[in-house]
Amino acid sequence: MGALTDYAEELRGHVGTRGPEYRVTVELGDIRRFARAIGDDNPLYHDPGYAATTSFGAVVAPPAFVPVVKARERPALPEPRQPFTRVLHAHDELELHAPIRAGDTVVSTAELAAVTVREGRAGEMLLETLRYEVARADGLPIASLTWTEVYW
Amino acid sequence: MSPLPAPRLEQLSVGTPMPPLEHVFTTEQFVRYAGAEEDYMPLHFDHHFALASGQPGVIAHGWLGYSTLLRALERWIPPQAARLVSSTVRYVRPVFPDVTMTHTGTVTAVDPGRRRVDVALEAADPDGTVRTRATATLEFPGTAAA
Repeated sequence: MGALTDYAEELRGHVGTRGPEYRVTVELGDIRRFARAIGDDNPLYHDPGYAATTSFGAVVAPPAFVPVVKARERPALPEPRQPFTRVLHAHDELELHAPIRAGDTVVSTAELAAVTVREGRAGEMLLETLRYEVARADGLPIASLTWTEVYW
Repeated sequence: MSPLPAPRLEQLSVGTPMPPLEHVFTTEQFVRYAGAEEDYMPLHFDHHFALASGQPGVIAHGWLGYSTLLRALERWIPPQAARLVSSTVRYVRPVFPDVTMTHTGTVTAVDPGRRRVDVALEAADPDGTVRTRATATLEFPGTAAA
């Protein structure tokens, strides 16, 4: 009690802080590798010839691909005085505006969106929510992802 | 791909079930997923690290479980039939390898005007313990009545 609440209060002062922009070109192989990893054999995610006959016009990434292109660096935030020993992923929200096509260059940034403290079985826990905005390099919005992890 | 033609919006109503998908995650798949997402958190492939983290062994990346729920949904209604516009996920409990997980879903809302349906999804153990819970909103093409 106390230290974690103080740290949460300090972090809250940084809500809105953004990390550096991450820019990456998504190759056909990246999409295929991801689709194979999740066991999805929809030809839309694998076969350019097939994809060209659909309204998508090109191989696109599955919706769950968004974390692959999310910003790699977190915003610069104060560290806890007492380092956390455990972290778990709690919950996420995904909004999709446009698919990622093979060959697209996309840009992403992470922003501290929310900080809350919760009483868990192991005592006080800190929930930290980052919001990632993902867009195509030409500005077309692709996705917004809010990502919440719990630390204790 | 869906073995059956995807349902049309007009065929869906509150309570319509998604065909269930059974899946056994393996540590090998965790490694493949780690490479594909470039998330090398050792909790997902290093048994000793997992024990030290308080888990009985390695656990799936949250997004691998979530991806599998979305794969179950897309097997039923693929992106060629309707667009996923939004989704939420809650990692209720860890997902372990070598367990048959059952992925189920149910339509919870239909909005004919916006041509959207909401589906509730969950992944459960053989004993019915829910480990991942998600929601998804799909939008069917075509113009809303206007």
